[in-house]
Amino acid sequence: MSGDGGSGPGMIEADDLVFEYARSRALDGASLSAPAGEITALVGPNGAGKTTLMRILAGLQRPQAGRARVGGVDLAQNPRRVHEMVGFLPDFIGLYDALSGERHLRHSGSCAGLRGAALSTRVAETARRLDLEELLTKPAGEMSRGQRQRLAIAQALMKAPKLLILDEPASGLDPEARRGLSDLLLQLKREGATMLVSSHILSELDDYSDRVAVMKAGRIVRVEALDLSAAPRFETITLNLAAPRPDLGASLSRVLSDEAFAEIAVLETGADSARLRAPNAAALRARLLSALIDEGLAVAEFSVSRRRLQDAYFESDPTEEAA
Amino acid sequence: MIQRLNPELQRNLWLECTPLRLVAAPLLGALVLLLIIAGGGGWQSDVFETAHAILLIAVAFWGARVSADAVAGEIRDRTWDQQRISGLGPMAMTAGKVFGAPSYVWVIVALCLAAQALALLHYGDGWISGSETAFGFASGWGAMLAEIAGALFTFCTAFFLSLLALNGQDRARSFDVTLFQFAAVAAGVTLIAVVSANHYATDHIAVWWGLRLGALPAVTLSLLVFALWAFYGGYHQMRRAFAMRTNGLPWIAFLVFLGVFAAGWALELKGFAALYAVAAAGYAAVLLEPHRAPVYRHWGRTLAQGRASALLKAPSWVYAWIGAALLVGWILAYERYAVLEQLLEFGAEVDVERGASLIGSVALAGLFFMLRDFGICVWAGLRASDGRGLWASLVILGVLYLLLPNLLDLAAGGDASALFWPTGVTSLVSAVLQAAVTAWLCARELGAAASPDVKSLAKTAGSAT
Repeated sequence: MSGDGGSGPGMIEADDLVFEYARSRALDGASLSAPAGEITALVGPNGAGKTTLMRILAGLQRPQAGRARVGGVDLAQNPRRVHEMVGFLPDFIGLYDALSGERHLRHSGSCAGLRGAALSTRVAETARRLDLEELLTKPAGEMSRGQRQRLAIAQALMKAPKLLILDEPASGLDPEARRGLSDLLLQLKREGATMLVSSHILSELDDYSDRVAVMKAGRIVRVEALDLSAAPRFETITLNLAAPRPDLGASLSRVLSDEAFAEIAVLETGADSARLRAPNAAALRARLLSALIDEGLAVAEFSVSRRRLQDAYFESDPTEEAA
Repeated sequence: MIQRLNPELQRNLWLECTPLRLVAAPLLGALVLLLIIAGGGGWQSDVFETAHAILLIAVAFWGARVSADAVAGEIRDRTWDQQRISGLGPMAMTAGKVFGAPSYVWVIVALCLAAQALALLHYGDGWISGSETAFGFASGWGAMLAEIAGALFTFCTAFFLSLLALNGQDRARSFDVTLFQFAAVAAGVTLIAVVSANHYATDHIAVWWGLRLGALPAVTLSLLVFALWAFYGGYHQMRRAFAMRTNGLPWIAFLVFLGVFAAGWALELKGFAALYAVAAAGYAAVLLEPHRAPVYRHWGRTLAQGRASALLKAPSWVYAWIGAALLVGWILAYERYAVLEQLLEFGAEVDVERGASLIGSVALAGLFFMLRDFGICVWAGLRASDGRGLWASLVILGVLYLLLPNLLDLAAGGDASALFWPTGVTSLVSAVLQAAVTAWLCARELGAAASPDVKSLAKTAGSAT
């Protein structure tokens, strides 16, 4: 499905945004609509314009053309109002190394207008919510990257933002910290947060995204609502052979020339391995395995992974692979 | 009370005024004071002058540095984006940074002032009055006020210059911060020199547009007024950093004020004094302000579409150049013969008619050399978008004004400086040609920088009109 597809009122409404750098155009008529209360995943290859779009929506940069509204507020007319309602986490977390976790939170809260008991209560609540209580007295310079990430998100949440924008939030995190981040975003989602999250690691976005917006060459080329309860339409099949076969590509072409396999596409081929994108159907999978063996391929591994978000991404351009 | 503290000031106090630092400064100060008193003799003079020296060093080398680094440090540490959308308004952010970043230096300044006050209270300031010992100031108490004004001016100016140069940049080098720091100090020294150079200042009297002021109050007042302008400039730049709408009106107002201010101190040739001041401001702006191709292209498009708003969205140097051109017109209309008179007084051998014509050529040549120089800064800034344009411009201007004329003189044995300095008719022709070449280079750079998409956008915008 292309287009809006939103269920709630629009939290983000961006029309025909154009943004130029000195020698390139980062946004070339990008339009995006995202409803409140949902998590929109912004995906696309490096250089597609994701970061520029997010920075514009956070009110950090002004587009040269086009209009954007966040929470009903026009960014060009009232950027300060947008700053008040948006929390933004850039891909590189900047914190004051000498300041403790608590002072970071107090600073963010007081910048948002909180004072006295209300500020102390919000600091305590946010620390508890993000499991930061033990880090309140620790200087940020002594925190791990995962802890800094949580503190930065906590800072953004101190002003109770209507929209949280996260640019590559899992970048540089170890697997455990990534899991923690994913759990945190799921928790925020349950609490009704509206988020726009970018990443080129599709698998992690799949855990919590309601919608995906695919971006390429400065434009949003596809927006699709993801059905969390539905099974993915497509799956990725990884094929490993017991021994290398220089003619693996040709063999696969022969097998896939069968009309029954018309919807199967080859994503990648090596001497002893291949990755295929196929409809999510057990019978078709069994038939394919049988055909591969009949072709004389010594199949050592035939594994399947299913990702909803990956479907949407590759439907826009199946030949292009994300990390 | 503390709960209402500006959050940015509070954050700076947390970082700058740590308990250890707050204990260390008075202890060290008391130690120095005791050592001086133990030395005996006229200790009050030593205390006053030592405190004055410490204060100057702290303000110029530390306070100016941290003020210039207030935003640069945040850009380096990647905290600036969070600050910009923190919810704090541009005025609160500016005030929090201007007063917060050098907060510990203010503690040192306060300690120095306390030591000076002690010296003055103990013996009165008769030992200063009537002498030039207190750095040209006639009054100890007045000197202390001037010190406060000087510190305020230095911090506000360092902050403003730094933000002007770094707005929109994603890199901030320590080397650049050092430049902004010393530029602020140099601006303060220049301002004091301009006010003090007034003919009557030696009698501790300064005259501004006929208004007679004590030299020290005049310096103090000037520093305070320009500190206010720098603070407002910082606020204006902060609005820009917050993606808020801005226009050139504050800059135009500043140029007008600067021209009137500078002309007021001149006994004669007031137009020339205003021209120098406006030109200096133009050079500072064109050197420091970032030059970005998309911004120039966008401005060019709105200008081509005939939108009135484009007139207030021009780069700062454009207004400075227009101001200089107006002042050149004024000088040619009203001060041409006064200039000639001065030249003749200095022994120039030229008849009146030829001299008046020569002054016209020199003034116009100066204007076109200025345009060429601005063009060079824009061109260098467009080519090196990461802030290196400033240094490239300085090198090119150094070559054009110093190296090349001397080299050509040596090689040809003639006077080649006429090609590079405004000295006569030859200079005017040379300046116009050089300005044209620079304009062509800038246009070429803007065209080359545009991606094919950008060029098509420009065409679309053009056809829409």
